[in-house]
Amino acid sequence: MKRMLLLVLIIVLSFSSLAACSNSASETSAKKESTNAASPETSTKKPVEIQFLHIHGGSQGEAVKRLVEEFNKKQDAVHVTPVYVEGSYEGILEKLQALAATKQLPEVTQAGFSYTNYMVANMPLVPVQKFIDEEKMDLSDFFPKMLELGKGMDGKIYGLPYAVSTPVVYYNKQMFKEAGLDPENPPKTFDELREAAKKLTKGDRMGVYFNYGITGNWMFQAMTETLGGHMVANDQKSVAFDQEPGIKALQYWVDLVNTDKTMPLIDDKQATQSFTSGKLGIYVNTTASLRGLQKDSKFDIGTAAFPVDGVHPRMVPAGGNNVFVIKSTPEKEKAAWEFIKFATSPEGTAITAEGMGYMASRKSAVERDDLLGKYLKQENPAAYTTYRQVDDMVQWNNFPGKGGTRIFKIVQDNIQAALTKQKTAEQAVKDAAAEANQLIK
Amino acid sequence: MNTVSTHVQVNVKTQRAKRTAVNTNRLRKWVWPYAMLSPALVLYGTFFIFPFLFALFLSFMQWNLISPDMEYVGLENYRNLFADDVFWVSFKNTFVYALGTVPASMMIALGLAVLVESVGRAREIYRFLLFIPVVASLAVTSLVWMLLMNPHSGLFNKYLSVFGIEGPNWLNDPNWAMWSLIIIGVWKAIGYNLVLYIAGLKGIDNQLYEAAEIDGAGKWKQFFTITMPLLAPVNLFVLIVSIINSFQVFTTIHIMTQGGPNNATNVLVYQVWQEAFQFFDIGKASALSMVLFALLLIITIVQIRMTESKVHYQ
Repeated sequence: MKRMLLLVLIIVLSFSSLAACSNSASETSAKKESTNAASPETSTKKPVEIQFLHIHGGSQGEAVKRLVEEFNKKQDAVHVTPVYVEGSYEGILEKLQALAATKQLPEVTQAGFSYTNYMVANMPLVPVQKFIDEEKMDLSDFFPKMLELGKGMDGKIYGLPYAVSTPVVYYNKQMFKEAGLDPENPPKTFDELREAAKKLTKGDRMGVYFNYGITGNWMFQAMTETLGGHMVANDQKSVAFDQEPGIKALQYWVDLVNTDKTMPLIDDKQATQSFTSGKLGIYVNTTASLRGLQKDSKFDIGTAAFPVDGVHPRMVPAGGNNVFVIKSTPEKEKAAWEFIKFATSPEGTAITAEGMGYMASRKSAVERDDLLGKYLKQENPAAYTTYRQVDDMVQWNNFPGKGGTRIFKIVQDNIQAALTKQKTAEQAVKDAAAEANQLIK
Repeated sequence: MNTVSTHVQVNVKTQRAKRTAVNTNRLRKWVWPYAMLSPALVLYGTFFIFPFLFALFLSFMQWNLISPDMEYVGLENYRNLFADDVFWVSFKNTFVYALGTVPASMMIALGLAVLVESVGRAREIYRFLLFIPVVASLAVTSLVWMLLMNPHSGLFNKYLSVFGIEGPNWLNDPNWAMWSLIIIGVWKAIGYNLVLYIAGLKGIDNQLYEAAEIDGAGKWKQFFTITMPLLAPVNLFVLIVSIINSFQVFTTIHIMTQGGPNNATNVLVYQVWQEAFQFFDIGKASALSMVLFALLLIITIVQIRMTESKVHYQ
C-alpha cells in the first residue's frame, strides 16, 4: 500500500517538474517573439498571427508560399504562416481532427469539395457569408458554379473556392504522332478514345489510364454523370449510381483493362511514372496535375476536354477545395477573412492557378492579360482546356448521412473488384449500392 | 565477517536505532529504485498506459473525435467489428503478412550474418549495405518499389520477360499484392535482424568452435550444435520483435496499395487508421486497437512460454 502511495507521489512530482519545464520554455519563446516583433519598426501594433493549413507540397507548395508572401508584404495588420499537411484531402481532414481534439485548430484551412458537408457539420466554422454580408461584397466575378461548391445545405456560403479542378485528358503528342494519330485533334468521345488507346498500345507502351482511385469517387462520378446518370437519387434517400449509366461507366473501364488491354491496372502514382516516362499515351486525370506532369516530362503534353458519349451533355465534377474560417477570436477571424479575401481575389487566385495548374476562381483573372490571360492563351495553352468545360461543372458529390466517406471506399473497393475480375461490373455496382444504401438510411 | 558484525551490531542497538536502520533500509530499497525509474515510468505512463486506457474507454463510445458529445454504446463497436467482413479479411491478411515476412526475414538475416562475419575483408561494407534498407525512408523507397513493380514498364517484369516469363501485376493483382508487400517487408526487416544476429554471434566464445574443430565437427555441425543453441535468446528476441513489427506494417500499405485492390492488402493496423481518420469512427477504431492489442499480447505470451524451456542463457 505504502509502496503504491510512494509511486504515485513520485509520478506526480515528476509530472509537475515536467510541466514546470515546459512552462518556462514557452515563456522564453513568448518573450523572444515579442522582442522580435517590437524590434524591427516603431509600429506599436503587432500583426495578428494566423495559420493557414494547406495540402500543397513540392512545386505546388511554392505557389502557396508565394501567395502568402504577397499577402504578408501587402499589409502589416495580419501575418500568415502556411502549414503544409501531407496526404491531400484525406490528410488534411485527419490533421484537422487531431488538432480539434487537442484544441489547436488553425484560423484558416483548406478542405476538399467532397468534404464540404462534413466540414459544415463537424468543424467550428465561421460561415464566410457573415463577412460577405457585412461588407456587401460583390461576388459576380466568381465563376458561379465554383461559388456553389462552398455552400452548405442551408444555402449559406461557408467557404470560398481556393483551387478548382476538372478531369481532363492529358496526352503525349510524341506518342500520338508515332501511332499515326493527329496530335492536334485528340479524341472527343469515349469510343474515339477507346480506338486511340488501341493504336497507342504497343509493346511496353499502354494506351490510356483513367485515374479512378481519386477518393470521393470523382472519376466514377464524371463517367456516370456524363453518361446521363446520377450518384445519388433526387430525394437523397438512396444512391443512383447502380442504374444503367453507372454500370456502363464501370463496364467501359473493365473493357479497357480486360478486353482491349489498353489500360494498365496500376494506381495513380505508377500511372504518373508511366506517363512521364513516355510509356502511357493518354492519362485522364485532374487539371491540378498539369504543372507536375509538364515539369517531369520531356515531351510535349496536349490536353483535351473530358470525353462525352455523343448523346448526353458533359458533366465534370469540380475537384479541388475551399478555404474556410475556423472560429477563434473576433480579431483573428477578421484576419483570417482578410487573407481568404486576398487568396480568392483575381491576383491571389492567379498565383494559385499559374503555380499549380488548378483553375482560377475569378473570371477576370482568366481574362486579364496581366494575370492569367496571356499565360493561358499563349504561353501554356494546355492549361486553358479546363476553362473550356467550366460551364459543364457540377458539384462534387457528397453522399448524404454520416457514413459518406465510408461509401466512397465501398464504391472504390467494388470498382477494384470489377477491374480485377472478382465481380462483373454490374454485380460490383449493385453490391456497392446495396451496402451504401444501408448507410444512408 | 561482515554479516556477522552487522548482525551483532543490530542486536546491540536500541529499539529506536533499529527503527531508523529499518527506515533507511526501506528508503534504500523502495524510494531510490523508484526515483531512478520515475522518468521511464512517467514516459511509460503518458505514452502507453494513459493512451491504452483512453482507447479502452473510447472503444465503448461512439465519437467522431471532434463533436463535443460522446455517446456510450457499450459493446456495439465490438459487435459491429465482428460483423464486418473487412475486419475478417484484414485479420487473415495480418497473419498472412506475418507468416510471410517473419520466418523469411529471420532465416535470411541469420544466414547473411554468418556469411558477413565469416568474410575477412570488406565486412564493414557488407554490413553497411545490408543495413541501408532499415534507415532508408520507407516513404521514398516505396515509390522506388512501385516503379520497379510497374507491370508494363517496371524493371522486374522486364527482367522476367528476358527469361520468357510474363511477370505478374505485382501490386494490383489481388493474388499478388500481398506477396509484393511481403517481399518489401522482408527486404526491410533483414538489416535490423542481421545486426541483432551479428551481435549474438560475437557473443559466442571462439574457444567452443576451436574445441569442436579439434573434435572433428564440420561447419554445419558446428552451426547446429554451437551457434544455433547459443543464439537462442537472440532468436527469441528477434522472433518477438519481428512478429510485433509485422503486425504493425503501415507505411508501405498506405503508400503503395491503400489496402487494395478490394482489401487484398488491408491489415488490422491499416484498418484502424481507416476507421479513425477516413470514416471518423473513433469507437470502432479503438475497439479494433483493443483486439489487436489482445492478439499481440497472446502471441507474445505463447511465444515466450513455448520457447522458454529451449532457450539457454549464457
